[in-house]
Amino acid sequence: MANRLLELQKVNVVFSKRGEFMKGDHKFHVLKDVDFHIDEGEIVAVVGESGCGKTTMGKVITGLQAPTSGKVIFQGVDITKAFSNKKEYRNAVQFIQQDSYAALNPVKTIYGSLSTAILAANKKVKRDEMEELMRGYLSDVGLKPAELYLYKYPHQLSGGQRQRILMARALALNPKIIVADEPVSMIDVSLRVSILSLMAKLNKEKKISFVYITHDLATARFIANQGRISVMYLGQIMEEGPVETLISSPEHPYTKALIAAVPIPDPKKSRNSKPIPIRNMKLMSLEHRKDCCPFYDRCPHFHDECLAGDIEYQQKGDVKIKCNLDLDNEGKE
Amino acid sequence: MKKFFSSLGSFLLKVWKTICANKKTLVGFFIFVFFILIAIFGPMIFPYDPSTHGLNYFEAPSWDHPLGTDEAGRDIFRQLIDGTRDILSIALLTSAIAVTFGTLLGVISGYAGGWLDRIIQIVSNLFLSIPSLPVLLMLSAIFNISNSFFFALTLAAFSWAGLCRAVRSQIMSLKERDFILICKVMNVSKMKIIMTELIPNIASYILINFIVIIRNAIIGSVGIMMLGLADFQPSNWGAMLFRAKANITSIKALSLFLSPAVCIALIQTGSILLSNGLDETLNPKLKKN
Amino acid sequence: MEETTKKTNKFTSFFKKIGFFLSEIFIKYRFFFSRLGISLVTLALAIIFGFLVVKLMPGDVVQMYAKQLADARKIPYEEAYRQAVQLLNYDPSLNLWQQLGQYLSGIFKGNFGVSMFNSDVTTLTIIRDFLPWTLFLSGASLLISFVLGIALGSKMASKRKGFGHAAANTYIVVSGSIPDYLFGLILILIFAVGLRWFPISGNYDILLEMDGWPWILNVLYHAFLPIVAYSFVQIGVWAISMRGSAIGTLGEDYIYAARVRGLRERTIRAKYLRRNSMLPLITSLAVSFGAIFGGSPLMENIFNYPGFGAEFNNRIGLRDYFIIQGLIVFMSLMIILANFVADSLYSIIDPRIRRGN
Repeated sequence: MANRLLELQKVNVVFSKRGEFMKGDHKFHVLKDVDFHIDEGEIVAVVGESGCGKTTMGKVITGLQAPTSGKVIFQGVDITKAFSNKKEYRNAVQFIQQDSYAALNPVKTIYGSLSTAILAANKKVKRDEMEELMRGYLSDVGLKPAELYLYKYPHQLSGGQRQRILMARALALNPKIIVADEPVSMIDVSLRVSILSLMAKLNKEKKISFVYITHDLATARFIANQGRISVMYLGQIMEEGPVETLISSPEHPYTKALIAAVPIPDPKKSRNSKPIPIRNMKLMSLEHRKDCCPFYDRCPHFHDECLAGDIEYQQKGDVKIKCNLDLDNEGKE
Repeated sequence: MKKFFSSLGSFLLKVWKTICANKKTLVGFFIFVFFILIAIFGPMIFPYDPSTHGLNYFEAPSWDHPLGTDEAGRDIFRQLIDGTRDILSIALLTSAIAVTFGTLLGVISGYAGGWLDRIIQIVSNLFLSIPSLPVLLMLSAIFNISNSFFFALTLAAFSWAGLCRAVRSQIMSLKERDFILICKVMNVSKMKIIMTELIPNIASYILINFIVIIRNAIIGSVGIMMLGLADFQPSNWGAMLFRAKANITSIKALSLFLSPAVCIALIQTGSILLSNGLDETLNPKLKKN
Repeated sequence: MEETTKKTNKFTSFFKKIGFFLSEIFIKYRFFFSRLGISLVTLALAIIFGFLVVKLMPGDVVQMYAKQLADARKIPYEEAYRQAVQLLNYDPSLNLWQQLGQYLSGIFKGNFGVSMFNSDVTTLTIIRDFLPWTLFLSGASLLISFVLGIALGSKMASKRKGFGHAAANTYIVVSGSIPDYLFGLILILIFAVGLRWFPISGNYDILLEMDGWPWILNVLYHAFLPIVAYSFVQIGVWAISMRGSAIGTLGEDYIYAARVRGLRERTIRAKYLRRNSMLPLITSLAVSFGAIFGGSPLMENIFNYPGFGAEFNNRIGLRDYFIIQGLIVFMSLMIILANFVADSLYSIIDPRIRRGN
């Protein structure tokens, strides 16, 4: 089995907001009992609608958000409370943010931003080596010649170029895992494939694992080609398994709804398509969380047992599903 | 060594380009340079002899005395040149102290948060609530401040609080931005984050405030001297105005009054032009449509 | 049994209602109370600062005063010393904390400081006699310059070109370069000394006896130059802030929508621009009003106007320490109050914040 790089065990994240005078704090239970793992060289896509907690999970993985309970295990070492190998962890796990403009310091040139990263990885780099290194990273992400980009400011570059520079910056720390939070959602559709292919190339050549967070099933399918998909809803993982299996034969009602919601380019087909299989658009409250299936309000196959308590995972082949339906027989309900 | 000079050179070139980018900035800058040159070289070219002459009071302007003489027979023109040094040094000193102090405390307060932030906030609040001019007058009068440094110190004490607050709020909003969060992921030390990421973002704001505080310091120091509460040399512009004020009914005091007044107005014009011009160039929100 | 339970029920429900009412007030005005707390802490510190003012003064104040009293009242020194301590509410023999306590209890009793030269004169009498003149002068200037400055500023924001714009810009640079007291001196030189159109000093002609309308006119006559001097500089300041705020408002979408709907530029300016841009300036107005209480010793000195700041100057000259202390505490109190009102005003005036909280 490949090296298990990072693991999240039963991670819960609860945000508190100061409540009003003499009333308690508002608590938002954003992630609930999340189990996640990523191995060396793997690509995992985390898919879910806005607000389902996927960005928070990305932050827990990169260490920007401490879990309220649960464990984060890096290369076998529990780093939840204290870092015994902080520098190694910080170098190994990098983050690419959604907004490429906000992720770069507006008063620094690209040279400046990249040098911060390079020096963070290795303080002893000398000035002459610096430019060589940057040239290397920039060409890795397809930006040649380096001089065209190094001495420009972020507002002078296009969105696609900035996104590539974010990747170059992440590469500068020689990471083992890169968490990419909706990296292509702010990029023109025509350019998306090139960025995604770049990530796939980096994964193959440099053996960097990717956690690809998105709401777009199509791009998730493209990038996680040989990898896994995790479907999140309201802070819990509903279904997780190999990409093709999950997309071709989804088991969880939410996954089915997601796939049904993907627009079909052929107008004839789309006019005749069936309605999306959910009851309504009501979202369960994150604040007053009950121990039950979070999808209960929308699920077309609901029944009383779904409200009884926390749902266990079922395993069907390589796929794990959080539902208590009798999956082999549910078509007959 | 070479690297240091080359990077210094490129920095100065950038500064020069910023100055030239706007007419206002250019004019203001030259006014300042003009007065600074006078302050440094003036007394050498036109030496001033403070001993009173006692004979030719309030003489009209002549070749010997281009601006006439004052009530004790001293040459006004040379007094003006001599006084440039005092006024500029007080203003620059005040601004340097106030800006250093205000920025330092503002950054600490904004970045660290917690109880440190609260304490600094309360202290800056206190300095903003105490009436600055009356207290300054009181301190100048009672302690008879004649030393430039202490005078600048007291002026700075009432100038730093506003800047501290503004810097604090800017740092607090910058702290949560994406490019700062990523520094955490890259394990960049806090000190480095403050010095290399945060401060460059507020640098232009600090620079403009530096000039604004110079302007306020001039207004304040001249005002205090005009009340006769500070024991400065008679060549000081504020002292000149004090003596002119005492003789205001006599038309002969006109030169004694106008000379420092015009110079003060000139310097202030320079500072307004400089600060407004820099604001226009450096502030992205003020782009003229 | 039932009767008593009914009574206790009514009792508890009454208390519950009060509790809810109070907690609702606390909830709605939570920020209000926290700001109040900060203001009170600042006030406390300002009072302590005022207390320290006297401690900083060189020389033993009580001794000097006692000597004066001994001479004036022809009493032995020890007796004079006791009386001095009584009058001044300050006993050097006590330690620091006791002195502070003495000072604070004096304040609570209303003793803000007595003059060392005339025991009839206290801080409160000075406030009563001199503050109204300063309020009149500075208040009128503030109002006039606010109104005119806002008008100028909004005009400047709408019209970005033309002669008017260049003239306005020049005015702003010039008015910002000349300190207000200097401008006052220039006005005196030209209009009072040179042309003799206006009086040089004073708030009214003390030599003439008048009442009613003639007196009011005389006062206005004397106040004209000072008000012009103040306003000249202040108009520029308000104009700049208003222009900045108005430029921001003009960029907003609802102005664009109003234009698209076909509203005339003048209507837009009157109804939308002015009111919406004024919002942040209202708080500055409150703060400036508080600053008035700081007195303007410079202007009043130049025009020989017997106002609050001028009197403060006199007291400094006399080294009348306890009055100075009281005046400083009073001024700080007013400034803190004005800042507090300014803070609260902002959340009340802006309907967005009002509803949101």
